[in-house]
Amino acid sequence: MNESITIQYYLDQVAVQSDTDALKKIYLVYQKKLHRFAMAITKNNEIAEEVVADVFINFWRHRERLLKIDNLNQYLFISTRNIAIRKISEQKQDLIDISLDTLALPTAQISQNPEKLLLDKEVLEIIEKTIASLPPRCQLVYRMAKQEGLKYKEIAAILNISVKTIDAQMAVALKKILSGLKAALKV
Amino acid sequence: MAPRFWNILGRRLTGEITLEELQELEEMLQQDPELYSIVELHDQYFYCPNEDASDQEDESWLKQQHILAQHFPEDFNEQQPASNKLKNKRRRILYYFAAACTLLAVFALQLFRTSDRDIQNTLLSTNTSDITVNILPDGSKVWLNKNSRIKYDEKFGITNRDIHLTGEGFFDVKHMNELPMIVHAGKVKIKVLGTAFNVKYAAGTGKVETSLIRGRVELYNGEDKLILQPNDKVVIDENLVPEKEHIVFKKLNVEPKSGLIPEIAWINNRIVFNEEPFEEVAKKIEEKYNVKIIIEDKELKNEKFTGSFYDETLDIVLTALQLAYDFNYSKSQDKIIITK
Repeated sequence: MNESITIQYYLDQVAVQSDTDALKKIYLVYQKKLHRFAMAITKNNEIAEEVVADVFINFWRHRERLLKIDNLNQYLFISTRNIAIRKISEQKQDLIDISLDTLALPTAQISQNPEKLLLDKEVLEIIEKTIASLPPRCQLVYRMAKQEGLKYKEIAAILNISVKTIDAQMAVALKKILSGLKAALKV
Repeated sequence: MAPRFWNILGRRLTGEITLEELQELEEMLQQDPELYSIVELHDQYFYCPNEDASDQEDESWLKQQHILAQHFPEDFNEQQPASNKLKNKRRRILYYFAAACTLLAVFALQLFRTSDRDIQNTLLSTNTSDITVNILPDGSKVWLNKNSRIKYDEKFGITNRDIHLTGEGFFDVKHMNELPMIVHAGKVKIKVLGTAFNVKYAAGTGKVETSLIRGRVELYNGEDKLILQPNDKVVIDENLVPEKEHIVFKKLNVEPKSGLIPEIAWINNRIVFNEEPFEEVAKKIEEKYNVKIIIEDKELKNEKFTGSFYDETLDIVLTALQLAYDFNYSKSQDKIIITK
């Protein structure tokens, strides 16, 4: 079932009723996504785990404010970004700023359930290979949209870039992926 | 392909495309069928559910819960569930009190409102052969399918944006932050800020279909509230039992050859089928050509069909269908009888 349909309900439950079960529901929807994003910044599994834990500590601590959030995706990803940057800055004892060209979002575990998988294995491999060969920034934008299901506006806010840049990066990604597919299917 | 093609293709994937862009994309894709089939293939990859729910998840939540308990022992410590519950209860009472106050205020407002009488209603309706495009007082656009009507009052766009629909309409709603549009279709209410979506409700059937193309809508069915994301389709059918199965979620699918979404093809006077059984295909033909179709063969009823028609005559449509399935048909007055 579509998770996003009920997520707003859980958010209200957390904010108004301090419902810990609703928090669990939100956690389960976002935990992997946020961990991947934290990994992209910190490149360290343990630190990434700490980041996600801190994100949800803050989330709970300020739950009364949650009703004012109009975009949960954006809120959680930006929170993850800020905490991750703070952690690596602390570790290196220097203020670190993230460069988009160094961020690599890990690939999500693809479901092996054949009913869910509508594509041939062969086609899948071609697409995955093409994505892996994209320039870092381009790959990051594409994965944020596809894998994490984020909107252009959300990606723009999270990565601190313009929607125009996202338009351009997505165009490059799609051009390459589709021409890769076209060439592969012709053989 | 032009750079613009790649831009709007990307925007379609995240559901941020406008209706105009969608039509533009469709025209461009029609010129290159080979590219179209590849776009389709990629769409499936893009939307493919990519994560497994696993036992690891519960384990990671236990870890998280443990960390939370260290920071907020009163909320997460299982040793003291009673006090926790009490706190929740207190909050709940406060919440109910706040809700009651709001309700009272709304009630008072209603009383005040209904006291100024003589509200003028506007009624727009279509006959059995025309599709119309209407601009509402707030600047929103509504396409009305055949045999449909909408109703709103003179305060529309000023103090309310309530609109009542019977039949089928496609709404491209102008964004107004303070004043959401509420579409009433039977018992279902659809609340929107600025979006494009299609609603189908045949009076008296208790079945309401809502398809969202862009933006976000909230759907109210009695006490249930649902939030739709782009490409979501929700069918609420109160005839279905048990109650929980009233609501069915679907994803909108583009028909591969034409690049059209079947649910909104009627706007362009088209009918589009995507893996639909012949019985449903016949229903759409009935609506478009104002005829009655009777399929006498049971097996034929469930045969699946994919394709689209534009301005073809009824005979051409039937002949095209005959190429896909082996059947005979005979016409008598307004009836078409289909046999194997």
